[in-house]
Amino acid sequence: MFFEVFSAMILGIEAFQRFTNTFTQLPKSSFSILVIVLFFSYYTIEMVLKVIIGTRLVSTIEIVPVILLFVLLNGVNIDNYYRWAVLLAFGLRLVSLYIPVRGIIRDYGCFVLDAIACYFFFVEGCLQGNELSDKLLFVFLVISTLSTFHKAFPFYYFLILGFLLLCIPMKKEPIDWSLLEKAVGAVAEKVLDASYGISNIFGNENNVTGYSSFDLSGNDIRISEKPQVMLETTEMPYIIYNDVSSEKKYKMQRTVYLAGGVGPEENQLISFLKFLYSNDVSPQDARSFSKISNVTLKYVYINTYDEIAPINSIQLSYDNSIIKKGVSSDLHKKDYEIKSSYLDIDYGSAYLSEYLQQNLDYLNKEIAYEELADYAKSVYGIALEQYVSESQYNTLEYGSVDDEYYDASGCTEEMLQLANEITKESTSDYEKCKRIEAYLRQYQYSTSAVGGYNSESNMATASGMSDIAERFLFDSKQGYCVHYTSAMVMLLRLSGIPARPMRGFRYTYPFETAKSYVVDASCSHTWPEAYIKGVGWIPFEPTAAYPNAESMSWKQSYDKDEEYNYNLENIPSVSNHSVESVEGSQENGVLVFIKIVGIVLFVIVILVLVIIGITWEIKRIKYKKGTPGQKLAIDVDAIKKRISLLSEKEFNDRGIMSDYIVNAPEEFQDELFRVFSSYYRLVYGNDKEISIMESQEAANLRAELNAYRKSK
Amino acid sequence: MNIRIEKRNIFFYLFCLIGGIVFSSFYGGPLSYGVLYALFLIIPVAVLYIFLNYKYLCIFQEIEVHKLTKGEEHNYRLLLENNGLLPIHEMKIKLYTDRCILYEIKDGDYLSLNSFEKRELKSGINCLYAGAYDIGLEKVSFVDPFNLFTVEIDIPYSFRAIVSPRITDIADKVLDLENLVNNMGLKSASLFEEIPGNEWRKYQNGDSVNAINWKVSARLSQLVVRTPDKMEKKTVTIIMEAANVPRGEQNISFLERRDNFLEFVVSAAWHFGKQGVPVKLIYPSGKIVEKVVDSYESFFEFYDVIADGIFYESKKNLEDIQHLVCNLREQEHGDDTWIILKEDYDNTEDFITICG
Repeated sequence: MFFEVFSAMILGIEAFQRFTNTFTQLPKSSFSILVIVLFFSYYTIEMVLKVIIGTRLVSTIEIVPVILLFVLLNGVNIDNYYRWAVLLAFGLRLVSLYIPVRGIIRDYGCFVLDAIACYFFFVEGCLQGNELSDKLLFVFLVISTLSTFHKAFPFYYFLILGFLLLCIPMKKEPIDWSLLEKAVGAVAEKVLDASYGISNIFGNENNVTGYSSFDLSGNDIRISEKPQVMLETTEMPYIIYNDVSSEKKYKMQRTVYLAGGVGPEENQLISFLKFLYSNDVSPQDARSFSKISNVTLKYVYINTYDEIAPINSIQLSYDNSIIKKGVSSDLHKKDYEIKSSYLDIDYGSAYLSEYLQQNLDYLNKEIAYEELADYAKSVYGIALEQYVSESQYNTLEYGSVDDEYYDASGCTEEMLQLANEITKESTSDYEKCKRIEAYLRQYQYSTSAVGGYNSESNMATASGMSDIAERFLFDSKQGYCVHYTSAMVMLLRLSGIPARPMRGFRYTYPFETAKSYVVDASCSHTWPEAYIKGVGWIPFEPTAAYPNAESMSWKQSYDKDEEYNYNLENIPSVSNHSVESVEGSQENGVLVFIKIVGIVLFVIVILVLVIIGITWEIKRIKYKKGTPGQKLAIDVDAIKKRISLLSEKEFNDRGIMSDYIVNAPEEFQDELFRVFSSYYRLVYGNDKEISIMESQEAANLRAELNAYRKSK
Repeated sequence: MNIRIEKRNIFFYLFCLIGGIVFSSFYGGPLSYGVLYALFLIIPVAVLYIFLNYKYLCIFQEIEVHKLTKGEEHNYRLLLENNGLLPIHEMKIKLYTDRCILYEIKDGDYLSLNSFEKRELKSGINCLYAGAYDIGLEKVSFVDPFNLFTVEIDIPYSFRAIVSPRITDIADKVLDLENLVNNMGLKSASLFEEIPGNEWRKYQNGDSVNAINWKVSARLSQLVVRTPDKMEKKTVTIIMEAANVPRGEQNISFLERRDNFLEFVVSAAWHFGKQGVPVKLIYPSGKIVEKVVDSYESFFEFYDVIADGIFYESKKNLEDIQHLVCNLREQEHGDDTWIILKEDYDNTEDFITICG
């Protein structure tokens, strides 16, 4: 009852302050504690008085020391509130003594107080733990509520509980699980590390997606989701654009191509800047389809000498040292970190496409370094000398590429004809590229594919790519990025455009901003890049499974509403082949379905067998290690089952042993009677000792019944 | 100690606990943490409370006599005292119902004791088996306030009673001792039978006329008598091959066997004792002890110690007695009769083996 009274008192003070806006200066905690102390002081006095003068007049006489104390405190220089605490404590004592329906209040009062406290907590937003009295209130309520559930139990238990609760600090913030998350995360990371290490030792990753070199042959491949690289950037993962038709704003996910083994390409920046400057592209227009971005790449489960970075990287650094080459002499492992500044270009921009469509021959035009630096500053706000010095600028070569990018060795006449057929109506190199891209995107995408005719063919050599492309273009007609890229590179080279295959990852950011983005093995990709004079290397996306540059455009051109329309007419069709491919894929689909169902059934059967095996083994061990009594019980169960099976009549198990004896074959009935007698003694008798002989007899009978059943 | 969990209540408790954790994950402050910490502390505080209850619980048991007799009622007193500040709530008492009957105290009764309270329970007690074993109160159990678990603990001081066996005719029936005595001509080992010897002396008054050697008397012309020789009579020896079961493992099955064992031995000894026919008993009492019973007095000496007097000091004593039994089974016995009683016999062995 005490705790209900104290809780009501604290709640009363809270309500009084809350709803009347009076006594706002009242120090709740010290006031409440003083009232509680005084309450127990009166209680002690009462006990003493009871001993001295009996029980009747105690409460009346008790008022005397209270008034005395109140008067005495008047002469002391203390806060006026504390004088009232003297009277309040006495009032509460009287209430606790004389309140009617004490029993009901003791039983249900705490629930009413709980409800009021919850109201204050949730609705009024008070009692949040700013004051000690808040903690006192909830501790009182908790222990009085708990004690209500078991009134007969000594209250000392709840007092101990309450005391401990008061000793434990209670913060105002909810539970912070971040530490646990970190701990669990650390454990999970260790497990992944371990599995990564093991897979590096034993695993055969040849046919699984992941960062790899150009020895890919283009055979069947399995999608893996093993983390490969982590991206950290402060930039938004999406771009907001205005949809002209609906006049609404939409988000467009950003896509980044991460190339391995290329390294920084300062000349890409210079080429692109010269291209823009020569076309008199205004800084505002230039910013609508290009910008300088920064990203940090962390290697996760990947072992390579290659530096992996976004395409058009203009500066790469590791641990504050500048990376010059695309391939390192050291093997990079997990936690290797590269900081990259790169030129992010929207190749699908209608603006840019328009410029790219022209015949580009700006290399003859000399542009002074300072002039270009000023332009770079005005477009991207960067200091060009930070990336390319004047001496570098003067020595860098533009407009020419190595002969290897023209190498079309291994290509057949048929491929040459195809290249010519695709590009015959093109007016520019860039349009040739787009036509070849559009042609290839008609092919069926499939990870169940075949490589070149020569099993040794891979993307490391031009002849390897030719072989893969030949088979893909004219025979299998389905494949994945390796096939598309090989085909496009070779078709481009056959069309007189320098081209190179790129390897790495194609990652599309999510819509949600995150601290880091995981690029897993399923993002592994190869794509072709074509060298367009005056612009530099431009990536293309012939792989049908991925959207091309136009589909991923930032759509930031303020006066260009639609995509640029290339001349894609009269591109040879591969529809005939597609039908075959579709049929093939349907067949494949059925086969895959059968395969999956088969695997599932096989796993289920194996699981069932394992469960049966384990159960059987446990039973066997239990029987083997059991006492004679336990063995007897197991044997009797088995015997009952055998008899049920052997019974010719319909056997209704009433749980009576004699039924089994009647239904058993006649030659076993005597033995059965003895075994069941032993079993009865074991279950119901005073002497539960079962001898080895008795147990053995049951085992023998079980074996005999088994043999009998088999003979039957 | 045995802990029993109330699964349903525990599930409900865990449900509440999870609820408390979830609540505290969204709200801070004394409301959520007060409830959560209380839920966390319910079990530890209950364990602590029960531990303190048990620690301050004093139990005294007493019976009016030093030694009880099987099947007879004696006065039993049980004193329970809570010597601590924390009241004991509904402590359940568990009695040794398998070996003794307490007439006024029921097994499974609940008892609550306030701080420093003492409670005395009186009852008649009847012990069911002969031997020395724990009787009366066996365990006490405590339950937490929310009935989540029950702790059953052995009482700190058990009460060991010494129960003398009953003297019955069980031995007569089993051994058919009358026939055995008559057929084997068993005679007292301490009362000697006088037979005429080879030594002689002059006749003295009171000498039996039968003892006069007439031939020698005639030759010497004076009455001479043969001095009698004292011839030892044939002996009966009972070897008690008692089981060596540690005290902690003396279950009800053991008590039953010990009861039969003692009853048989005592009945056999009584049978001989009351007839004045001697019987030698060999049994383990720490070491191997031999005791001859050939009178009421010697019988009661034996009877007085036998209830708690059978035990082995070491494994060597057990081996000694087993070795002795083994030898007896193999050797020639002449005129001696050996009765071997085996306490822990199984189905392939006999309780009693008579060699002679």
